[in-house]
This record gives sequence, C-alpha cells and structure tokens, in this order.
Amino acid sequence: MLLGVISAFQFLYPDKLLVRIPFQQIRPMHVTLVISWILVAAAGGIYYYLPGISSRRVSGMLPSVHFALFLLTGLMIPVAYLLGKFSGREYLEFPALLIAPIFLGWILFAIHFFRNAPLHGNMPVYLWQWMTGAIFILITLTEAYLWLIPFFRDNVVRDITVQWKSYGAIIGSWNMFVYGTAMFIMCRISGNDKVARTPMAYFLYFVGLTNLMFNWGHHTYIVPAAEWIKHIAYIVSMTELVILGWIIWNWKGTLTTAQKTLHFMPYRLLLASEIWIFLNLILALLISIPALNVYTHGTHVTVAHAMGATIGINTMILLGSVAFILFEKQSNRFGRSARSVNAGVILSNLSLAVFWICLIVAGVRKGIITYRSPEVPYRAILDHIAPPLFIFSVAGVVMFVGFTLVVVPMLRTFMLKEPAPSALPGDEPVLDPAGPQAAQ
Amino acid sequence: MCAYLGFTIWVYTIGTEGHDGNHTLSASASRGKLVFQRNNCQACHQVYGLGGFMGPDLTNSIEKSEAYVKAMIEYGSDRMPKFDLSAQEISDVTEYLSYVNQTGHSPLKNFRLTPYGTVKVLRSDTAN
Repeated sequence: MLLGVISAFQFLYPDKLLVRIPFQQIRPMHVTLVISWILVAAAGGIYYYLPGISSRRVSGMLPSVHFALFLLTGLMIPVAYLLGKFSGREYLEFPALLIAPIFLGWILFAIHFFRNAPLHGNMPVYLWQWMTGAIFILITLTEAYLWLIPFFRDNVVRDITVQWKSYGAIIGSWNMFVYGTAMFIMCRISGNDKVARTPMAYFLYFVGLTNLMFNWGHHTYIVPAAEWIKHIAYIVSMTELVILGWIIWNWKGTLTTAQKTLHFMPYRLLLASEIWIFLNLILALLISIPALNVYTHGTHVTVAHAMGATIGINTMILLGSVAFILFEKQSNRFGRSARSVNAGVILSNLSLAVFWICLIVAGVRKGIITYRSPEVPYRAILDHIAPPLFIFSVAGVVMFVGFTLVVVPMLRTFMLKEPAPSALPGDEPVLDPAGPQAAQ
Repeated sequence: MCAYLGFTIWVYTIGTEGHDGNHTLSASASRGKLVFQRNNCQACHQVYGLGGFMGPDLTNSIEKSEAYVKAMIEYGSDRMPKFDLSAQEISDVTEYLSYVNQTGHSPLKNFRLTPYGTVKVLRSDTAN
C-alpha cells in the first residue's frame, strides 16, 4: 500500500519526490507485493480450511515448505529490484530464475490439495474453484515463461499475445481461489453447503472457467494477431453479463442476508466485495467491447479496473477470510479495536470509490485527447490528467489509513495467546458450530 | 480441456504467425528486446498499449526519428532516468523499436467501428 502511494506521487512529481528509488523499481515492487498478498492470503486460507473438510489427517509439512519458498523468494525479489535486476515482463518483472521456487511452491500446493481435499463429482462448487485454481496456476505460470524460447520471443505479436493469454489466466486462477474462499465462508456463515451446490453456482463457475480460458484476448484487441482471437474474446467476455444479471436478480436476497448478518465483520467485508464485483463487472463489460476498448486501452481506465478488482474484490474477500479465521481461532471480535476495524472498512471503501472514479476520469480524458488531438504531446496529456490523478493519490493515502485501521488489529488479534473479551455486547457470529459438514 | 488445448496451439501458431507482417527480428533487434526488458522499460512505457503510463507508448516512437529515440535513451528527461547503456545497446534498442513499428500501430489510426461493437482496422493502418 505504502509503495502504491509513493508510486502515485512519483508519477505526478517524478523530479520532486524525496524518495530516490526510480519509478521503474518502485512500481514492480508494488505490483509484486500486491500479487503476493492475493496469492499468499488465498493459499493460506485454503491451507487453513482444508483440515476442517478433509476426511484425512492433514500434514502441515508441504504447506510449511511452500511458505518457506514464498518467504525466501519474497525477500529475494525486492532485493533484485533494488539492484536493478529485472526480467522486464509486466507483473513478473523479477529475474526469470526466481519463478522456479515459486513454481515449486505451487506444485506442493497442488499435491497437498489433491491429497487432502474431498474431491468427488458432487462436491461443493468451492472445491471445484480451488481445484481449478491449483491446476491453472501451474499451466499459466508455465505459459508466462514461454518468452524464454526464441519461437515466442522473436515475434512481438506472438510474444505479447501469449503473454497476455497467460496473464488473463493467472488472474482467472487466483480469482478461482478467491471466489472459492468467499463461497466457502458464506457456506460456513449460513451453516450448510446448500448455496455451493445449486445449479446456478455450478453454472456461474462454468462461466468463470470459460472466461479464464478464452476471454484474455480483450487485453490485446489492438495487437495485430488473428481476428478470431478477438472475436472469441469479445463473445466470451460478454457471457459475464450472466453474472451481472444474477447479481441484480438476487439483490433482494443479498439485502435480506445483509440485514441478518451485517454485524458480523467477515460478512461485512464480503458484502463490500459484492458491491465492488457489481461495479467492476459493469466497467469490465464496457471495456471488453472492442469499440469502447479502442479508446480506453492504454489509459487509466484499465488501471481502474485492475485496482478496483484487486482492492475492492480480492482484498475485501481475503480480509474477510482472515477475519473469519481470527474469529474462529480467537473467539473475539477484535476486542477494543472493533470500532477501529469498522471505521477502517468504511474509510477504505469510501476512499476506494473516489480512487476508482478518479482513475476512470483520468483514463477517459486521456482517451479523448489521444484520439481527438493526436498531435498533443504526451507531456501535455499528462498535465491534463494530473488533477484527477492528484485526487486519486490523496484518496490512496486515505485508503492506506483505512486499511491500516483494519489490518493492525487483525495482526494484534493474531498475536494474542488467549481470547480477549468482546468489546461489543451481542456481537456474536451467526455460525453453525457443526459447520457445513452438518448438511452432508 | 481439449477445446482449450486446441485453441492454445492455434494461438501459438496460426493465430500469431505472420501477423507481425512477417518482419524478421534481426539479431540486433533481438538483443535490443532483451536490453528493453533488462532495464524494465515496460514499467514506464507501453508497447501496443500494454505497460506503464509514466512515458508514452513506444510502438511507433521510431517514427519521430531514430536520432530522437537514441537521444531520449542516452540523456533521459525529467521523467526518465539516464540509463548507462553502451552505444551498441542503444543501437539495438532502436533496432527493436524499428521492428515493432513495422508490425502495427498503437494507438490505432485508421479504423471504423461496426454495429456489432467490433473494430475494423483499415488497410493503411496495417504493417508497412
């Protein structure tokens, strides 16, 4: 978060900022840490939940080795950036050699998952999602490094196309982990697996899987690859209208659940993510239309989508997962810090809304100038979009404060040796102690 | 899964073969691409609109002039650091950008929108 804030101000005032680390080093650090947060939190949650649903005695050895590998690479990657060592591939800017321990870690995750998860044809959809993520993260990480082979590297159209094919699917893979986690928590909150076994749940999973595999071409509409890649991407991307329609159709049910469960912090975070899913889905659908994409591609509208998703959706769900685990382990509601956590959730979401809108405004402005006035120098375009980006940067600072109010009490609660008394009377979780197994 | 596999192989081959206008990446341009990556240029610049926004899209930057591009790489600006590249490396990067320039345009120049929401690139905007 801190590096994101610094990057934002560095972008506006590159020659004025006191931080001497160049933008091309800070940006990859921020991006790598964001991706690490999502993947580590998602994997950690799945590792935590598996023993509760597995019929086997689950060993912690493979997860420990996985964690050690991630910790090691997590330390080596920033050092590599500070030393100016890059592979220069977006999202994976670290030296190519460092993917080896990361890849090994995901192999261990897959082995652990397939060994212990109760996989069968009638399994709840969250297991399908986690399983899909475990398989596709390996496929897509492999694909992301095909550039090492001259056949891919020495043709820029092929290189960029395959690169973004892999990136679209890497994001789809981690979304499978994250949405599966959200589904799992909702099952635990409601006390049974019914919501994860409905035909609609499986259908939506299938829509997500199809998009993971085939919609990535919406990142590369203007790259001069074969037209059918773009047509397939356009058609498949539009299938997410089904998801949007389902969210709208179910808004009353969402509201009813919210009224019953809003006092429960993990649910509050999941509800925030639902609102961001709705907003980001609208934006994603719009920019997946090639006729609109041609104007928004290469602008901050894309950044709005990326950050809206990673912060508003992924981070909210994963913080919900962390809160849920803490509530189970510590039986408290963050003690005296509960109000600070509540304030942090509200502050981070409100500032994210400002953050997101400013990026869209900046992106639309850039797109309009680029196409209406192509003779305008790039520097002048940046001057035109500086005002919304300044507000975006300030919103980023506020969001940083908001998330700090949420995360610090979580860390403190995690460190507690004994459960602390609840600070808010009546703030009890609506959990079925038997968990979703009671319904099986 | 079979559909995905077939689609993947098609993308790797027919879907991208010849779509760079059959322009061959010379040895110099190939080296230049690696220099571009090693210095993490995409953190600030884009190719085909993909990358960072600190600096402009470089897909057709060579159209300004080769001398301009070389000067920017060698001397930097208030937004761009001065990279300590050798003359050979600067030449290689320039060669790489010349190759990219031949494959297409970003942002698109000559196109029309269809009623289906797609974009039709007109002939003059394709590879030189």
